[in-house]
Amino acid sequence: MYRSKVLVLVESTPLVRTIRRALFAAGCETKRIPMDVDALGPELDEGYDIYIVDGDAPSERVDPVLELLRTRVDPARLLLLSQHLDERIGKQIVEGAADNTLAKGGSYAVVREGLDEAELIATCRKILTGRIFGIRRCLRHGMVPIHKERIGRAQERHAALETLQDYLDNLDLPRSLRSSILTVADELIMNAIFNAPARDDGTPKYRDRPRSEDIQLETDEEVELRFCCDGQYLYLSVEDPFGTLDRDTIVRYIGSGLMRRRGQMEEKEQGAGLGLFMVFSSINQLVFNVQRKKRSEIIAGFYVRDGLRGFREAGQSLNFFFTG
Amino acid sequence: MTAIHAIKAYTVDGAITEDTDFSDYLGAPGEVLRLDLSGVARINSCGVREWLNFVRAVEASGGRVILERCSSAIVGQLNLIYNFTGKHGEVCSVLAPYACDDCGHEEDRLIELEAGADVEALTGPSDCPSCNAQMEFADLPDYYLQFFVLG
Repeated sequence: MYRSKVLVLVESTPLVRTIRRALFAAGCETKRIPMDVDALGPELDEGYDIYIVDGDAPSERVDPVLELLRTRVDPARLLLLSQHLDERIGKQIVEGAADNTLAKGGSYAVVREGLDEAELIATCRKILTGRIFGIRRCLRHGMVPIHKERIGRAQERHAALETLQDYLDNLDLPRSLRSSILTVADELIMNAIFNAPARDDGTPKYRDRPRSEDIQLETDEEVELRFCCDGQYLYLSVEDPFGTLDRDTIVRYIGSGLMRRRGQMEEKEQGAGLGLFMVFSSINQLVFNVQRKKRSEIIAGFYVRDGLRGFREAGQSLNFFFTG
Repeated sequence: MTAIHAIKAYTVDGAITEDTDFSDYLGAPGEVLRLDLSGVARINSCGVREWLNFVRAVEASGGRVILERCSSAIVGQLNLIYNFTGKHGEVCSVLAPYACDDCGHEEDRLIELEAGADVEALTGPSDCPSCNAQMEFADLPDYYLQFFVLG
């Protein structure tokens, strides 16, 4: 990240201070400009590594800025900040303008508006370096162990979920939060077993098989569930060795959630759609790391420090990272 | 003439998943099914699909479902899935998570949902049975009862 250039279009001075401090500490140079297309135009000629924009600024100011950025900047380099991932921010994701949103709730929602500096630095580092995989990048410190469960058969997921349940019980989380976390893990594992595996020609291998079938995966198709907690967030990830997820599919699946619409299930609906929609609706952070045709890792983060209310108020971050 | 429908009551518990079979609950055409969902610990997307197929089958036979004592896992789905109760179903009551900051006691309290009821009043504080301090509703009222507020 050393000497990377970051352009900041954020109006709140305390928030700018947080961003500057965190990114300076991480070795970046930041420049703040007004939320204004006239100010932005010349800067685009200059070229920056990352553009940070406050998505909650009044729409008459932020919308023209985002419109200009959309025509000139790779969405992978645009970082949108929002207190809550609302319909307006969701639209930017759905329409492909931005790949990354960070919750301004971060770890402080209950206390004050503010970014989680660790999340900001980790996200910027991933954008700049392309080193995207690994749940440890999310952690605020490296001192906690990461638990791993390898899953080679569909029914083995129940044992993995029981291990996770024991872990959550020991963390003494609120019961309904435990239930949400288990459901998210279940959905991500099911997705990795039934939807991710593909043949050499790219056609899905198990997608049409009944979900109650105890599919035996090949050794090189096995799925790994990982989980850990740094005291502030609980993270879990599920990785598959296929890398078949693409941005359009993800956005199609979670689009209703992004646009804040309740889902209406059609009789014929099958596959990962509802599962990922449910996942998105139950998390504070959702990160898609994909090395195309090699591997996918989906990381779900849950703010656990302040009970259920803190979890609800901490906002939502969403990140897409694609390589290869 | 008003049709009189038979009412049957069942309890559903555990996890609702791809392995859940609701066919045992399907009875005579036109039956009203009162379902106690207090024991549903969680429900995954396959379970949601099984559930919706079941509700559709009940309604196709002229019946409907009445949901009682819905666990927080079910409340989550009511908030997420627009047609979770079918076209004619209703939700009578839910279990609401309460927690005591003093002694850490957690329990679910029954909330009866009557049309027009005030959400803040429904989720007001109550006495902790463990230490007599005040227990608070542990979630955000407008979030937890979104389906009831939005209708």
